Amino acid sequence: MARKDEFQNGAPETIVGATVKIEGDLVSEGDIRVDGLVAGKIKTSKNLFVGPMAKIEADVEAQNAVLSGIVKGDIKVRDSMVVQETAKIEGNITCSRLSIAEGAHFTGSCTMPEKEGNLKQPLPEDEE
Amino acid sequence: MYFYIFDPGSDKEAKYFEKIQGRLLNYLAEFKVEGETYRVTSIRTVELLVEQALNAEAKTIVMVGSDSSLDRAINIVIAKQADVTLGFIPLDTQSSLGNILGISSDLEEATRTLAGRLGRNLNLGKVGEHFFLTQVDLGPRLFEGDPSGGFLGFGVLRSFMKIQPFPLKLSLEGSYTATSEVLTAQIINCRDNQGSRVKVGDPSDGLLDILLLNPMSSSQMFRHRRELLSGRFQDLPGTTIMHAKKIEILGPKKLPLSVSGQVYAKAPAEVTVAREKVKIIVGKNRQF
Repeated sequence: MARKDEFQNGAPETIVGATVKIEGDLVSEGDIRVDGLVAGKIKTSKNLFVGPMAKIEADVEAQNAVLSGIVKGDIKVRDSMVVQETAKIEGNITCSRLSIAEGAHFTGSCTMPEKEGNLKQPLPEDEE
Repeated sequence: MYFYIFDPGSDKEAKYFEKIQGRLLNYLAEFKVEGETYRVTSIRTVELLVEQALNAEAKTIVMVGSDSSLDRAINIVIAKQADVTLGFIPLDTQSSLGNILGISSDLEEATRTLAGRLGRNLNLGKVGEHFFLTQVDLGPRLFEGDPSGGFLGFGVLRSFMKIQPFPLKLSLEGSYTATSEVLTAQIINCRDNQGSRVKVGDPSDGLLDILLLNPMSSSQMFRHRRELLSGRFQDLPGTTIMHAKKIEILGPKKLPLSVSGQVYAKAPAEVTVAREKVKIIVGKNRQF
């Protein structure tokens, strides 16, 4: 399972501080850390960290995500998503790997597309 | 052909300038990079001398002086759209641009770097009609550099504590707005990252870095006084860091935008990565 510190090899490229409010499309090629408010859309080809005091009302796309705050919107994560115990999520999740800590709130549906290699082989028919 | 423009700067530096100039001329001869030399006076400004060098079809103009001497030379070279390489020999031992470009304030080392002729095309920022290599300060310019104001820098720290936060509103890339209460803000093209944990301001990445310093309590300021006094706000917890090519400063109205303490525009205003680049001789210890 992906751990938070797996993503922390170097400082995040974009940091939205606790007093900052962002409205619009926040798009980045690097890591994003949000501790403030974001309304609109968040898109990164790398990692997203949402701090415990953050409030996001936006659709989210990222490679990996670690969520500890409030997220209202659909979340698409290409690889690993970690939902911490302080997180509150209202929206649909799409990701390859998911971890939800005890105590976290999650309202919505979750889709996990299986990789081709992971598809189960059809069971052989019973031989008489 | 090399053109050297010597800028003695303040009177204090001028006192030792003849001696420095003599030593430097010896090194230039030793490394075979001699050329014509001009000296800045109250009448013959940096701008006039750079123009004079360009009219003489200079291919390399070397500023010998302070960071602001180089900044002024860059602006006139860009304004004239001149195809010229700039060199820099810092006379100030604390020169930020010297550290960024990897050019020592030791005259022999600096001349050796110059003779190496390792040129790099660097991005410039643009505020109003002014081009800048380093950074724009939004609002009050907090102290940077030698943290010796008062006993252990406490005098400077006390002046930080008196600064009132103001509501800043920015639009980045025309795609999103950021609003926040800040103590100060900076838009950085490049900066001296010596001793910094977080590196900001790469003049070759085609982006400007925006730093917003959030309001801090007195105890937080005291705890992080080292970062505050050295101007390394990016190392402070909670500082906002964003990146963009185009930043519009929407408010507060009439907020001053300054480069090295000189105000070049007032909000609402735009700061962008300039289309123009400047070719500068850099050292192997450069920070980008």
